[in-house]
Amino acid sequence: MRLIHNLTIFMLLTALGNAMLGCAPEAPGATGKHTLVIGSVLSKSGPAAAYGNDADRGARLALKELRAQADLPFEIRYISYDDRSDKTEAAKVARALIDADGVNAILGPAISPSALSVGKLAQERRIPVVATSATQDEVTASTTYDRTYVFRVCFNDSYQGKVLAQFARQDLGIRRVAVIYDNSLSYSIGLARTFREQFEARGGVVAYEENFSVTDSDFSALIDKVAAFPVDALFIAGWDENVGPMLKQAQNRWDNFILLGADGWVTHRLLELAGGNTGTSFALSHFINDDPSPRVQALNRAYEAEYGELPTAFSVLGYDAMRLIVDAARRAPTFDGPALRDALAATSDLDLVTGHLRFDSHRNPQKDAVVVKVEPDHFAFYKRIRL
Amino acid sequence: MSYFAAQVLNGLCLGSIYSLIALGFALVYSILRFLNFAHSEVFTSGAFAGYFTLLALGPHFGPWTRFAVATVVAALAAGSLAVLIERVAYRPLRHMPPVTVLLTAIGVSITLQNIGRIAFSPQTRGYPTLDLPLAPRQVGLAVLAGSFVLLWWLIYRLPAGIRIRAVAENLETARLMGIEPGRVIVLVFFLGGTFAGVAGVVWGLVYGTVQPEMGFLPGLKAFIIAVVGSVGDLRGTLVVGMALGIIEALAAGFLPSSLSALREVIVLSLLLLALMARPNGLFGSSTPVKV
Repeated sequence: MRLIHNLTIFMLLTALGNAMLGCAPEAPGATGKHTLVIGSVLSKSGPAAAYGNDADRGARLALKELRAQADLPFEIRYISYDDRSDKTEAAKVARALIDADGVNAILGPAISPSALSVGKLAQERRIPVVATSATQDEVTASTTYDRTYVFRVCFNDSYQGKVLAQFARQDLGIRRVAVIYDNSLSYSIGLARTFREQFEARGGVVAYEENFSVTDSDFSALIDKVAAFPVDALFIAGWDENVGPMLKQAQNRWDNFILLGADGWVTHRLLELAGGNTGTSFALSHFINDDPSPRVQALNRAYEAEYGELPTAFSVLGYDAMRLIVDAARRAPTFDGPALRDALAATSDLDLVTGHLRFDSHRNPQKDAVVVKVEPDHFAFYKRIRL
Repeated sequence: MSYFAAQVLNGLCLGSIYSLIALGFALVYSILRFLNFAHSEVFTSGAFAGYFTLLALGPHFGPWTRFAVATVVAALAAGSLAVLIERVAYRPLRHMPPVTVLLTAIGVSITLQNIGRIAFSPQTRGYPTLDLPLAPRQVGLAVLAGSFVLLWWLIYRLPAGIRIRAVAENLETARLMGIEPGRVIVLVFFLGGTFAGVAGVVWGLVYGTVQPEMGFLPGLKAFIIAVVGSVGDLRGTLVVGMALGIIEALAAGFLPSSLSALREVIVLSLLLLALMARPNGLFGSSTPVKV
């Protein structure tokens, strides 16, 4: 009994001692050094897993390079959560990051539905958000609100719709198009709408609109129906996990169409799921591997050395987002929300892999878009467009 | 081929897959009077076994060889999993109230789904494309039709099948006639599992993707088909399964695109109405029996 009594006291004291040690300030050393806490909300599982996982890898590579820099005046702590491609889960983990982990900034989300819910929360709590590939217009601002704390490193859907419509009309000479979109994704609905407006404004005709759902696995009815349409091209606004199987199941029934896709197409996963059946397809990307710029080539090498595969557009957006946040943290007087946000908004001379970054009045970057040709086993550079 | 005919063909393929899975439910129910919820995961395991086999064999082997080996491996793997589940989860509860076994079945289903997520990552994988001279749907239908014929032959022509039918009719009397119910139960689980495994490979071939939670929706529909087809009645299961597949395909093909999201609702509502009208399924007696 005495032994147990003593043992208990000993364990309690040890626990207390450990707790006190944990309260000690981090980063011993130079005065003024403190820790930048970055949390990420990325879709690492679920239908949008390709976008989130790539972004996370890109962000971690950037983090590794940044930490290796000798002149970094602070430490960086990076916490990564999976939102499972679900906006409710995204809001839940964002809340955990802000309240429990005390993050200074949020990297991600990678998809628009999550970015909408996380952005709303972050705006209320005044924590800056840098979304990686959430392209829907309403992520940063809409007709009813302006989320001053939400930034993104990718172009937005109104820009995408414009670029694609122009490319289709002027470069490919397409006149009649059928739009196929995912009626369960706000990203897809918005993009389809923007494309239709822009395409018709340039004299084209959107003759048909068909839809599917992100949970669908059988596209045979859709494929048969669309195969009979008298159009030149199909614009398919969806995520890679649906478009890939759709292309594979289409076999040769869509061979007489030109297929147009948006940024959601450009992942390894789409090529894998399409099984080589990519037809004559073009898609829009934030980035392309065979861009000859030295910055892109250096990133290709570093990423491949680290992960054994080439980066995708989504990896690079994660990479750029991390660099952007840390650059802003260097310039900000403190790490609290409003200061960091202002530093982000003031970004002006930053050269990122995806281009020279300049934000517009709604915190969307003004940058180039790259049209890529979708080959069976890779994406090939086709044309760079800047509007 | 006309658009209508193409959709009917799609429906037959889909319905066959559902029916094959539903037959697994029906077989187990006919013997043990309970619904094996883990059967959806047996289907998924077959699809994954087929996937890994196809990857392992690589393009050096002819496409027919790869497909045949993958199907056999999937059938055996799924059947073995089904037997394992019976041994581990259901046999110890043989004399427990039905609710206990039902809950166990749900628990096994959830456990297997999550084991799949952890072991194979939740990401969707694409089935390797096979260079078969026939369209995947045609190959799928041929395999499924062959499976039905095989199953029918097993149940109605082989002595093992007679034993199954005897135990299904009356377990105690069968035991008195010298049939060991324990062995019949294992056989039934194995049989249901193998056919679910075949259905899994056909799904992968026709729809091109597999992921650990893929069994949920088809399994749910197969479960409903088994119930509406009057569980235990193999004919009924087949008919209802085919009908459901065709209705789903036609709904997908002919509903205006603004309503296409409703096709699942339509299909499941019809099943609901059928059950409300005849709680014992379309082919059973009209007095309700509690599961």
